[in-house]
Amino acid sequence: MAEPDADAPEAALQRLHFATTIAELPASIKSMLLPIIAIFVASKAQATGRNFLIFAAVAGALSVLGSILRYIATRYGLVGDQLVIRSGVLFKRRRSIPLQRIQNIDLKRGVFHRLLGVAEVRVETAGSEGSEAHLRVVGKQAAELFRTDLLRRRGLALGTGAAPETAADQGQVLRRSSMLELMVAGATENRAGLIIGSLFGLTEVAGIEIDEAIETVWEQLSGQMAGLGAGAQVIAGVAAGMLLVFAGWVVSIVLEVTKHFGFTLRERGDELRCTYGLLTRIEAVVPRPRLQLLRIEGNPLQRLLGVRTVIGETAGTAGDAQAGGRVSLSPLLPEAEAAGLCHQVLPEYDLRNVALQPVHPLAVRRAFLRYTMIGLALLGGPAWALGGWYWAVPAAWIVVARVFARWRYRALRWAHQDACVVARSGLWNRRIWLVPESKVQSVSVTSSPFQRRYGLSTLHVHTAGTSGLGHARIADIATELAQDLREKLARASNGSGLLRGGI
Amino acid sequence: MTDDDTPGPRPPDLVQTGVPCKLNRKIIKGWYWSGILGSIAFAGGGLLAEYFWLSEQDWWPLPMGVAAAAVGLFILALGLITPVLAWRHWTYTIREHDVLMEFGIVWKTSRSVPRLRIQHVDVKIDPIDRLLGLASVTLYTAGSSGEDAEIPGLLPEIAEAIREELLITSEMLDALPTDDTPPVDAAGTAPSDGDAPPGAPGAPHDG
Repeated sequence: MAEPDADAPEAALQRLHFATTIAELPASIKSMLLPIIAIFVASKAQATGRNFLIFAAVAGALSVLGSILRYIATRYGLVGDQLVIRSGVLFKRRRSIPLQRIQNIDLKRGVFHRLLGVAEVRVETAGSEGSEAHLRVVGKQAAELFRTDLLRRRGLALGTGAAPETAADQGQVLRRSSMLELMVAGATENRAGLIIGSLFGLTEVAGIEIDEAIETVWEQLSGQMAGLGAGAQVIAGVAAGMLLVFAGWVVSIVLEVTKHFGFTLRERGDELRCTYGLLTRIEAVVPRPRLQLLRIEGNPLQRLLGVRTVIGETAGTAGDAQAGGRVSLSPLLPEAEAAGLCHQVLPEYDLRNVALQPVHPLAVRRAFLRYTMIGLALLGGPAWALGGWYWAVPAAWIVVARVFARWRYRALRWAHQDACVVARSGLWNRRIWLVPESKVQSVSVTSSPFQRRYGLSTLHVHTAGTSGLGHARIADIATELAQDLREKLARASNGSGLLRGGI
Repeated sequence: MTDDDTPGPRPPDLVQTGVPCKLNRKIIKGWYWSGILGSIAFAGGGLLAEYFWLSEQDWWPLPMGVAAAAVGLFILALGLITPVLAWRHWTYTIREHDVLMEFGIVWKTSRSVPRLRIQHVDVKIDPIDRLLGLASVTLYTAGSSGEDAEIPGLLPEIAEAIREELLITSEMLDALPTDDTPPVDAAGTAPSDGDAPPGAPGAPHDG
């Protein structure tokens, strides 16, 4: 066992499910589509369709052959404490992934997969994009055995207590989403606009018939509406718009219910597993220590209804199941239960015991100044052009800005205790971050000119995996406090008993 | 090899730890040049587009190329003022536990990269650097992309020395007994309540 992977014991590697060949067909046909079309155009010039048919048949045969060859060439398996995947027909590739590096494991089963009794396995690592392992189609039982084995060996490699190993043991249920919750989640998600847009896009793609249908309906409608007055036409337009929004809303609910149908979050020793989906079933396994941070989110509608979403972030590379290592730990739950769920997910931390502190009181002034200036910049021009009473709008804005600044101050909260950082923000979209000290990758303190005027700064806490603006930050605390926190977090992060660069 | 106090292969004078260091003054010239070149490219591009193409388009009412040129000139003006100030405000400190960078004239930033979080270190020399005989050091963590920490304007030997220092120290820290704890993250290993995660030796928690 000195070098178990130096020369692969080929016996340890296994094939994918034979259905891979079928599953890969659409993709390979797609890649053949362009040449086929080109040939079709060319053959049309010669006024015979037969050439085209021959070429199409050859291309089809080639793609079938290609997927069969790829099926034969691909082997995977666990060798020692590494996941080995061998692939490639012409260009052989052999990828070894140390099990410790694995961030999460997803089993995905679309309708097609379920008909054939197979599953797609995706293993995410913290490396750059494309370093994950993607086993296109594995028999369902083989996939589950493989995952169990992988997790067990991973546990051994890490020296943690391995999870109970019977495949039948599903673990303890932490959270199960009800139908109502999913519907509310769909209804409160800001998806309506997107869906309307895509509906229009769909009609474009689907082509002329739908366009014509709309046109005829429109003509009939406008023919009838010509008899109505201008006011009625406006009302009809508004009604049509509202109807569209409502339709988008319904679609959004349906999509959400389909996506997260039967959402169940279980805990099994060291692992968290989410199971969900009506048509496409997804089983995501996230080893608990791989969670980099937890986030409780609530948009204005959700806040009005007193519900929240809980999201965990891993350092995983972006897969299509969950963008950028985002793991939904609960699509929706009552606000009061959010902290409890976080505690169950990361038992070391309990938001309910965290005493959130307000930011610096001068944050109100800073926000007031900023809101006022933005408002005047936007409203001042038109008011200046129109003159007279229109100046009342920017004047009213100043009052509103003051109120908003106050609300923002009330929304901003932070805490640093029990080896974690908690930050809350959001005048409208409320977010609460929970970042364990041991996951902090780097810490920055920034201050804009306006902040400096009041001696304020923003603390940015970066963890692995969060991209762009997703990181936790504490805005508008006193600069000395921010620097002090930065110092403490850097020291704590350095000393948290990790291997160098461990995530 | 009996003398334990010898700091090994690291040249002792090049890297000062625990002391705020300034960038090499030559970087000011470098920033001048990149500012000038950038603004010339911007303004020139705008003017060329205006002259050859935009002015003939009737769908485009504004002299955009001229506007672009004006913006380019503005950038040039900024580029002539800011480098000295930027240099004055730039310091880096290599400390026992982290690398601290402080910079920014208008928007100030102080960034702390814990040493154990550094995944790898790059020494880079871009064309302007090469003309001036400078180099820069980039520290990569697993953290959010785009937040990689760069120290520009270093003499190449200092850049190398910084890299050595950071790598050496992290190996030394790896050998410390703190790593007797299982090589997993502190979070998630100990389900028992109230147990502070192992490590965090010198870091008192917020009281």
